Amino acid sequence: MPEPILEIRDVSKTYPARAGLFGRGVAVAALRRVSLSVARGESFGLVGESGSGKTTLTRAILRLETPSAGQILYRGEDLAKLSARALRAWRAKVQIVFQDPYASLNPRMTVEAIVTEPMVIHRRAMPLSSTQRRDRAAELLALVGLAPQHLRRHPHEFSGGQRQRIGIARALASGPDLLLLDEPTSALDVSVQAQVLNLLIDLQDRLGLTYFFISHDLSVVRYLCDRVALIRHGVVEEVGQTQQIFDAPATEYARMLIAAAPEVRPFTG
Amino acid sequence: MSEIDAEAELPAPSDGLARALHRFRQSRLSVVGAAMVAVVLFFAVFGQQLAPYPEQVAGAVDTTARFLPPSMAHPFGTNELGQDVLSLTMAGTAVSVLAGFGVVLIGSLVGTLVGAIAGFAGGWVDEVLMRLTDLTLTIPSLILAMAIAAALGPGFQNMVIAISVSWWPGYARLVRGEVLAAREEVYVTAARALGAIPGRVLFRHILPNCVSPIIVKMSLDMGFAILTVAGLGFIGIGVRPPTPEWGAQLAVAQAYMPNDWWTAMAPGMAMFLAVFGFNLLGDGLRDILDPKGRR
Amino acid sequence: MPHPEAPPLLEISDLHLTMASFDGVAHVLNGVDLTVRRGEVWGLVGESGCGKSLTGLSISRLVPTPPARYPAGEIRFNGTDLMRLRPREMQALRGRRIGMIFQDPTTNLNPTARIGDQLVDVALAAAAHDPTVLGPAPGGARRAARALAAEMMQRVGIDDAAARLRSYPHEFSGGMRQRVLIAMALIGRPDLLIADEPTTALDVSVQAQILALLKRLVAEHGIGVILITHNLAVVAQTCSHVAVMYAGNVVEAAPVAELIGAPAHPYTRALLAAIPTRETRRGELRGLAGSVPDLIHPPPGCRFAPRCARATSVCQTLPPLRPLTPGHLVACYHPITEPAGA
Repeated sequence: MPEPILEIRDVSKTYPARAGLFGRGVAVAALRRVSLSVARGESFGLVGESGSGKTTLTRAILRLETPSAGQILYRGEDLAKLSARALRAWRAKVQIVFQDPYASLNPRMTVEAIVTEPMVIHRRAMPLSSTQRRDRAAELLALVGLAPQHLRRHPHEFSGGQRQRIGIARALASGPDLLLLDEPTSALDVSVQAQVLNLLIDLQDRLGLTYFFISHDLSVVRYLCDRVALIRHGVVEEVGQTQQIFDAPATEYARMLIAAAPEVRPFTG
Repeated sequence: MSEIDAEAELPAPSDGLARALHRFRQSRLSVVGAAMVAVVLFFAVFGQQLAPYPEQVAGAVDTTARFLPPSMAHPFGTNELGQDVLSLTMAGTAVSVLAGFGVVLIGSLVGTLVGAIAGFAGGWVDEVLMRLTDLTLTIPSLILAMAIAAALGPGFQNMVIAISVSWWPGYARLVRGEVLAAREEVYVTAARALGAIPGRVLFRHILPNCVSPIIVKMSLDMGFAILTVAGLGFIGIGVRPPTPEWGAQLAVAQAYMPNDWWTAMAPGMAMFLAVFGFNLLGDGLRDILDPKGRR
Repeated sequence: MPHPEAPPLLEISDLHLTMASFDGVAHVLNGVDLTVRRGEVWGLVGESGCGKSLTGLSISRLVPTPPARYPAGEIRFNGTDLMRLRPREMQALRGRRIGMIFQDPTTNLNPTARIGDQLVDVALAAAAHDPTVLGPAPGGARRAARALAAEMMQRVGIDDAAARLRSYPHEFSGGMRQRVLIAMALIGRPDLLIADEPTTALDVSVQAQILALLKRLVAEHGIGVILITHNLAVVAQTCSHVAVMYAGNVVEAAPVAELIGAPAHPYTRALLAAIPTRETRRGELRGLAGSVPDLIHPPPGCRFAPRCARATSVCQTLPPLRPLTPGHLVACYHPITEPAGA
């Protein structure tokens, strides 16, 4: 296997007990000793139901939250040891596409402002003039299947699928190696979902991206991912090659998830 | 690159303004409010020039014409100095509107800054700023304004400052709540994940999305600010005579009630028009800008 | 099992619905046809804006008029045309003969009232129209209603039902709340149940349980169900029949196996090709080019024609929904008859 781009070692996250109206609450363990390794260039799927800890793990990888214990390494470097400035520079390399394309774009900004913002923030690493930024934004839009005329529009003028493409263009703007895809198609209609999934595959092939794909939809994960981890109650239940987990699930949880997932199969007879 | 031709169609150009106007016109009352505000603003700008007796606006008196009841020459009568009440009221619009606007502007700027910092920083900064806000709120605003006006001395500028000091806490509370809500928006998380520094997150992503309720509150507050300005004028710590001002006019007029009732008519109706107009306009703006904030 | 000879429970024919807005009048339902018999579970599928939810709401007459208007169409329920009923008569029908379940189980329960009290209220309201709902009530109507509430809770698979009647909604998980809503919808013994995306907010494991429950209740009560969803896989798992909607029309209606095995409408085919299955290889998924038509200025004739590879000049007139084979209806002049995957 190629070198890991992202390593999660024994990461735990506990939210402290909050004092409620009637006595104290209970401390919540959102993640319990989670260890995962994502190889360069692969598509890694993280599957779990609500409350499984997949959101907490995503936030921990993005360093929007600090794990209670354990390490997260990017290309062998412990993120906890980065200085504030180094951390900001690192953010250019790991980007995220969110689930809800209606909430993830600032409604007051134009598409141009949204897509160029990463370049402005990381101008130290990407010294571009404003004209160059605009050109690159137009290129990014073309890459995700939109037109340069769209630059001057606001998010509310676009359909859900188009907004998600804008979200992908923004995520690509800082030139990342690793993309976290947080249920990027679950808010979209199936025909649009298919377009976006194909776009993601096409982008990965062209740009050599690594995907960390978070989802509860097994059919989408099976379509896109090389390897999958199943997470429940903050614990990784099973990790392995996608094909293998779907054909021969080792744990009860995996069997249950696969059995419960609705599927369209042509009926015989 | 096979089938990435997306839903490649261009969306129709945005007609947000037309849509907003349409929604505004749906409500008769907001249109009436906008018209009343337009009248008030018109007199604020041109009142002095259009006054039928400009020399009296500047302070001239006519002792031969004291307490004349309404007539063709003086539609709202004359006062104890023989001055035309209509001229004084028209000229007084400027002071009231300007002071009201100054108060709302300063109050909203200070309040927004305080509320935004409190909501965004959280922790002890939030605690300190909000306790300070609460403290200011506990002091009756008119009394605080009186105390400040007394300390700084009377005059237009001091009056505006005095009222503003008691005016900002409302905005601080409003903006803090808005910032707390906007802070959790996904696009704000997106900006943080991009590595945006806190200032950028606050000023580029959070605050622009809090502007609508602030504007609505400013419009609703304009009427009350004008009323407060008049209140200070009424108790004699507003602008100095001979500058015409509605509150001061009323204060004088009340001594001659009810016999010479007309001296109070014009300034009273002007205040009614201004306060009611700005309130209706604010309600209309809320329907357009901040529909969820209704009632 | 369906009885094709029995008279239909629900018959929607040529239902038109327009919606007035700032931009103009949108023709959102453009002649919907749908027939549901007792014992049938119909999946009403389509993408956002196709009119599936408005069809469901129209059956219960819950679409506010204005801005909506019904220029034409009939909704026959047990023989009566619902479009001609007065609001009072409709009110009596709604919730009793026609039950509804919505997507979000949280907002449809009163958070400040006990589950049991909410169920009892619904039972008493139903009994006011039809005393047989409660049966003989020796201990008073309230006690009988309570017993019925407990029984319904049991039926929808809530253990220890009598004790849980005292719970508040927030003490229940999302799946449990949806079960309570199903119990509530069924308490007046409706003939027709309309479920609008009842499992979209739930985890797959819970979704599977709720769908199995729905299926079981249909078999037990012999009711008709319309399951409104965007998810064809859910339909395949649950329904006996499917109607596919596109831009305000039912474009294809057939028994589930028939529709998924031999989809005849180009749109149905495109929809199926967009769903990844275990056979789909990476990069093989087919998206659907173009976008949903503007319903204020819809294309003339078949509304799918602008995105359809098979469209010809005849498609400039609206194709009627007509049988391709018995029981398999298609609204297309050029239905695909070769098997799927060919």
